[in-house]
Formats: sequence, structure tokens, C-alpha cells
Amino acid sequence: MMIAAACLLIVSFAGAGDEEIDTCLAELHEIKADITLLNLINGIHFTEEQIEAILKEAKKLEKDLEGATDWEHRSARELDEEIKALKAARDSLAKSGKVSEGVKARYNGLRKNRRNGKGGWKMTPKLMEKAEAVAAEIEKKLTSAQQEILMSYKPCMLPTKDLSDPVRVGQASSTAPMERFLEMIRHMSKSQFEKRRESLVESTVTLMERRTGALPEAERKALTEKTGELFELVRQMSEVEFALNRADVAAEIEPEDQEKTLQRSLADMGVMKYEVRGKIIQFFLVPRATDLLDMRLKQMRAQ
Amino acid sequence: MVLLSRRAFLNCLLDGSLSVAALPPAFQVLLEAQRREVLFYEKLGGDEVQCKMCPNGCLLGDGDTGLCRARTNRGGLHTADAYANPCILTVDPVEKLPLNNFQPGTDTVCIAVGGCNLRCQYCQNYEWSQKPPRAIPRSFDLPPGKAVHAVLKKDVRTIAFTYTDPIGFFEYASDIADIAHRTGVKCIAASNCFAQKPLARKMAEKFDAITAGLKGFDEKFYLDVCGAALHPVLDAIVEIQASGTCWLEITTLIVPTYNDDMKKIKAMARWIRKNVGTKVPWHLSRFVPRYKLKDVPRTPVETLDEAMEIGLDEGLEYVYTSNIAPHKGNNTVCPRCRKTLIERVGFKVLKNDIQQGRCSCGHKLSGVFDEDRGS
Repeated sequence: MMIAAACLLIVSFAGAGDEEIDTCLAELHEIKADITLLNLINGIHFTEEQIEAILKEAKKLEKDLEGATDWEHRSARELDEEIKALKAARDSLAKSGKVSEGVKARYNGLRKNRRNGKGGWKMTPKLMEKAEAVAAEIEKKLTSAQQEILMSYKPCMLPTKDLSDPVRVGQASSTAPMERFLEMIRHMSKSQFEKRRESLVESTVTLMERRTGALPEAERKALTEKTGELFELVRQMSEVEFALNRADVAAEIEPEDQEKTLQRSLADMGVMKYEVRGKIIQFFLVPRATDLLDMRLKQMRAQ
Repeated sequence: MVLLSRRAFLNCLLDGSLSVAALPPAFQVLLEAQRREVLFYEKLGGDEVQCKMCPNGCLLGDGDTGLCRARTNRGGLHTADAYANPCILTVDPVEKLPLNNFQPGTDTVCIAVGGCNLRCQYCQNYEWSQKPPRAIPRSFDLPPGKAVHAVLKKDVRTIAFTYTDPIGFFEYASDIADIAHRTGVKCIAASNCFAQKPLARKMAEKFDAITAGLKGFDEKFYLDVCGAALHPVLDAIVEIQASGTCWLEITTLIVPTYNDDMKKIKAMARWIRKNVGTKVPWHLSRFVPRYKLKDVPRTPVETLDEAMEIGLDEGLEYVYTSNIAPHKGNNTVCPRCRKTLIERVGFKVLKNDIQQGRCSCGHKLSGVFDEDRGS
């Protein structure tokens, strides 16, 4: 469906000139990057002093970074890649009526890169070294709670719940999707469950793989077995047991985000600082960040 | 044949649409268990009663239900409607009540029953609090003993009565607390404290910690926005603190244009200092549009900052901010040396440097941090 929609998009672009498309895409990238950054700035609650300090440090890198960005070229290159991926999908659809897994993966990879805004940097090792030194200075100005927010922030167009709308004090929180899924499994009749057990387990494991990446065969087998057992377990639980344990069971099925696990391990080993600096470079040492932080500082001073 | 759930069946009996006398004795015992007599009320003669749980003091004829929607007069016997039928059962951090100086960083099993004696226009849990228990589609069958057993099995040290006000289901909460205390499990509550004094004393006796919602500091706000009155709340808070057995924290949700007048916030901070002391933590909560106040914006961070400064300037030792993270007000700071002892992002504890209830400077912190009951 997504691929078909994208094919239509390409067709609609066919009349426009290359330059026009490049400009539009570059603008789109810039707006998306700005929104992503604003979401972070709104959620991290900088003080005036912190913004001043970040701007002071970021200005040291301003000139070096100007030559390091590759936004204009990236747009056209990306579109070209996308067209190639879609052509492959079209050929595959024409020949076999199906889109191969390889083509799907290539297209999804392109979409993911586009969403994450990756691929637009030309950081030389020397520049990276300089950026890290600046990031280390900025890091000193952040509280550990802000560092935690920075580490867990995922670029987004709509602010994530954790940043914009944390579960409030005294508010009964709604259940997570996996918990609702488990609830559905509990309410299935015995025959329904037995009939669909295998496909439910398989679709759950596939869903998890989408988050973690393909699992090695042994791990996949273990997760499949464990998921099946946990489904059986929740079906046997009383209402009370389920209410008190559903979050734990859901967490057992949903493997923790591998990136997060790695960060936690690094933090335990005392090397998390390096990761925080990487995030500072990614978010606050980019060309538009200084403009946006400057704007926010002026707003704060005006209040 | 129409199949009724156990609860619907019992409701039919309580409504009188089925005759109790016609039931076999075993069912009559079950029904009695469901009918828990209200703790404080007065029989007025005939079948009339007056509820004495909260200052609403509902006068109820036979079959009438109180303003809390949770207690009904049944032939002169005032009974709790949803005894042992909580509608919410979940596990949360204690910080979510909010309680920051009571066993910080631990989990608690939260229990709530439908109904509430207030009508707050911004209620976050109105789906449960502003409905009678029987109108809530889902509930648990959880007698007090079973509740404590479930908590012990979960390996959690506290039970919290929260989300809806425990004043509305105090009979149930109180029975749970009695059993819980015998097993070493503590009971905590988040309450609006719109309670008559005898009930306030009873709450202090049964609960190990209470976070009291002091929603504003003028009668007009209480009447217009919450459908209640300020003075009984202040009296109940003083009563709870005077007990000396229950750890008290106070929470104020700051609603822009409704109760964000800094003069009133200052007056509130001063009242806390003079009447319950500087050691009682004060939580300043950010308002988020909800229920009937969806047209009001979120509380600006600057307002919370200013209110926090006012609290600290008044001499309150622990002033927190909530519903905003990260914020300096999420942390627990030593009142003597100002060192950050518990660092939090929202409800999540990042680090806790409190050792046996003390800061590294030697200052003993107010609260319940280990197994001790603090000052």
C-alpha cells in the first residue's frame, strides 16, 4: 500500500523540474529537522543560562560546520535512490505479483533514513574531534535529568508522550498496546485461541523483530517458545493477577530497545558520557540549532 | 434465560428488584458481605439517615444515594455501594501519588473504587470518579484479605488508595489497611481531605501516609471549580498532621487564571508553615487541559518556578513540582546543605543518595525512607 502510494507520488513529481524538486525536498528536510529540534527544546526545559552557554559553545563551531553539511545534494540523491527502489518494486510486482523481502527492506531503509534525517553530514575526523570538545563543554551545563531526556529522545514530528505529556500525578494511566493485546488473548475462547495460537505467536515475534532487527535463529526460537508460554500463562491468570502483572508480562515479551540496552550497559561501565556528547553533536551542533535556541532565548527574555 | 454477572445480580438484590428473603441462606450471606455499613452516619428516625463522612452531610431517604455516588441508604441502613469491588487495580511508583518523601523509588499497588465527593472540573480520572460504581463497566471482585494477599504475592510494600478519593470508599480501604498492617504492608492515600473531623482522624489512624489535595486557597475557587469548601479541608489536614502517626504531604494543582494568583499561593505557603510545619512537602502540580477545563492552557513553567520560589522563601523545606520533567523541582534537596539527594525525571528516580534517612552532611531528612517512620 505504502509502496503504491509512493509510486503515485513519483508520477505526480514527473512534471516538475529537478531543481524545483530539490528545493522542495531541501525545504521539507529543514522544516522536519526544525520541528524535531523544537520538540526536544520544548521538552528539555533549558534555563536562560543554559541556552546562553550552549550558544556560546556552539558558535565556536559555526564556521567549520557550514562547509560540512550536504543537504542540497542529499535531497536529489535520496530521491534517485527512492526511484530505483520503487522501480525494483514495480518490476517485482509485474513479474511475480509480490514484492521481494529485499526490495521491501531497501525501501523501508530509505524511509527510515529520511525520517531520522541521517546521511547529510561530512564530518572529518578533525572536525569530529573539535565537535566532541565543544560537546563536552555543553555536557557540563546539562543536569543529569536533561542528559537522560537527551539520551532517550527519538526524533519526531509530534512530541512523544514522555516529553510533552508525561503521565500525570494521580492519573490512572491507560494500558500499553501489548497489555491490550494480552487482554484480547485472555478473552478469546479456548477453541479460538487454540486455532490461532501459532499465528498470534508468530505475528508477535515478527512485530518484535521489526523493532530489534532480525533475530538469530536460536533467539527467535526461544522468543517464540517464551511468547507462547506467556500467552498460556496470561490466559490462566485471574483478573486480579492479570491486573497486577500485565505490565511485567508485556515487558517480558517486548525485548528492550537494543540501542537503549547498549546505552545502559555503557552507562554502567562509565562510558555513557561519550554517548551524551554524540547526542549533543547530533541535536545542538547542527546549523539550525543555534537559530532556534537563539529564538527561544529571546522569547524567554521577553517574558 | 438471562445470565447475570455476580455483580449485576447483587445490584438487583440491593435495588430491591429481587426479593432477598426468597434467596437461599448462602446467597444472603454473600449479600451481607457486599453491604458494608458506612462508618460515620446518623439515623434520623423513620428510614432517614444523615451521612457524616464528609462535610456534604447528605440527608438521605430510603433508597437515596449520597453526592459521592458511592453510599446508599437502604431501609435506614447506610451502606457502601461497591465494597470489595474496585474499578482500578494497577502498580505504580509512589511518586505518582505524589509522595516524594515516603519510601521513594518504590512501587505501590493502587486501588480505586468509583465515585467521589467532589466535582472538580479538571478531574483527571472523571471516567471513574464522576460515576456511581455500578455505572463503571469493569470491576474486580477483591475482598480485603484477597487484596492484601495479592499485594504480598507481588512483593510490593505498600497499597495506595488513589485515582478516586478514598473518602468515597473508606470502609473498604480501612478494612484493607487493618489486614495489611498485620502483614507489614503499609497503606497510603491521595485524598482531597474534604472530610469531617472524625473521618480525618480515622484516616490518619489507618493510613501510613497521605498526600492531601489542597486545591486552592479561597472558598470561591473551591465552590465554583470543585463543588466543595476550603475550611473543612484545612481542618482535616491539621487533624491528620496532629495525629503524629501519618506522614503528610500536600499537593496543589495550579490552574492558570483560576488559582495561580501569587498572593494566594503565598498565603497558602504561609498557612502550611504555620499550621502543619515546614517539614511537610508541598507539591506544585502543572495543570494539563482535561474534562471540563479543556479550554484552559497548561500551566506555564514560569508560574511553577515562581510558586516554588514562594514556597521556599516561606521556609518550606521540601517544595516539589510535578507533571513537568525534567525540572529542578522533581528532585529532593537537603534543606541544610542544598545538596541534591534524590534526582528524578518525573516519577523515575535516577539516583538516591539518602543513607538511613540522612544526607551526607548529617542532616536527618523528614519522611519515611527506610523502615523507620520519620519525624
